[in-house]
Amino acid sequence: MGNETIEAPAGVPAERIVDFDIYDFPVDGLDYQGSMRKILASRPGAVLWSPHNGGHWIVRTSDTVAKVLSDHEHFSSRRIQVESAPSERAALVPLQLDPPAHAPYRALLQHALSPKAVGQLGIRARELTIELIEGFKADGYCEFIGQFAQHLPIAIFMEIVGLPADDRLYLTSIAEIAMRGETDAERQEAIGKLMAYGMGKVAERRANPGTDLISRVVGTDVDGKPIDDAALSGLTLLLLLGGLDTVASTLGFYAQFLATHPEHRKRLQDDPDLIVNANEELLRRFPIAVLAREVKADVELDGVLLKAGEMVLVPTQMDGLDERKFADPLTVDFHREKPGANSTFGGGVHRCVGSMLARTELRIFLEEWLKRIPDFAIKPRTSPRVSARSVATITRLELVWPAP
Amino acid sequence: MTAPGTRRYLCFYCGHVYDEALGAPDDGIPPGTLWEDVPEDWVCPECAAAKADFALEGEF
Repeated sequence: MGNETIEAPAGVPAERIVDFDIYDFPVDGLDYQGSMRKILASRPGAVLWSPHNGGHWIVRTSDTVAKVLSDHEHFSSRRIQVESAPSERAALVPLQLDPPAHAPYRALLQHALSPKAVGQLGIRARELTIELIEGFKADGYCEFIGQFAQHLPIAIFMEIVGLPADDRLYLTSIAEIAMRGETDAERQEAIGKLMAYGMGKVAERRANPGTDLISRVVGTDVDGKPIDDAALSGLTLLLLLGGLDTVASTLGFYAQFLATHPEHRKRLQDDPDLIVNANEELLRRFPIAVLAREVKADVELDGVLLKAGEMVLVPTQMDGLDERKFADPLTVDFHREKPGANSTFGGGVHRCVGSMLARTELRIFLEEWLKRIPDFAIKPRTSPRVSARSVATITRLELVWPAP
Repeated sequence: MTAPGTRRYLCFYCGHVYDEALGAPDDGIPPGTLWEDVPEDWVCPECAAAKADFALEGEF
């Protein structure tokens, strides 16, 4: 598994120790989530220990995932990745701030991504979705990630923050390296480029403010003072990483599932009213984010003592895929009751502020794609692969369908 | 301002509405329960967001 291993703290029962490297574990086909669950569910106990990536705890049940995400008194967001050596990366704001410091920054983002704002953005998202699909429908082929998944949500995001559409390809390529580059040096370099890009836009908006989110952030006081450059840098970086990668990655998992499950496609075509619940069910089954928290104060969880300074891996996948909460969790059931009550979008004070927009874009994709391209498959003799660090994605997904 | 008993509260994260007139019977909250009387540990039945993540409809 490729990195140095750390001995478990004294007193950790052997059956709680799992040889699991979150950045390098065997994935069966494209089922990243199911493969993770298979390994973690092989051990007894809700809290496990991994010797990889600096040594860390793992919570692997619905209850413990929810507990760690909601208890900011014991679990800090100061560090949000497990790693052998702590990264020098600038803190993402407000994601890496604990309450109450995070609140004023979060309020800024909430305003831009409120249900009311998303209502307007949804109109534009639908127009763009239709335009993109109609653009390649007659070809009977598309490379879904590049031609759709990295286009729709990113174009909408770029409108929110007021970035030029021409920068989309540059930004998505840099974001891919920042999120899943091979080496830490590559990732850090890409993050540096994103930060430089973000701060360039901050300077532009200071000189010439508009109505976009970056202008709003630049023009807002926190605690009676303008936001300083360190916080602005962390805020714009979070916006870029969140806006450029997450919905695009989720769309890839949606498309690969539908491409390989004609009976599910037919159910949605026959009964489009099912799409709202289907969207939540697909989010439950295919979460992309793995979170982490630093233990702030010693705390007992599931009978083991977690000590201040230790790290806890929080795979959001392990909530929606917990069989005690969702029966037969690996099966996608569009009629499942309340599939959305899970941690796919995180939880507690850092629950994803863009989740309403994400839900809207994903639902629109289902509605408009299935109307126009009802039958499609993964192109024969292609082998799409999952690439993952803290966020899992499918890097290339070629789809084919009968051309009209 | 909407009168207590007829108010509707919207979940920021998924858009679910808590309607005071309807309550949330599946969660043991009878019709007519005012928002302030909904338990603080109640969560959104659709997405599990906290009660604090709801706001009066139209406020966000």
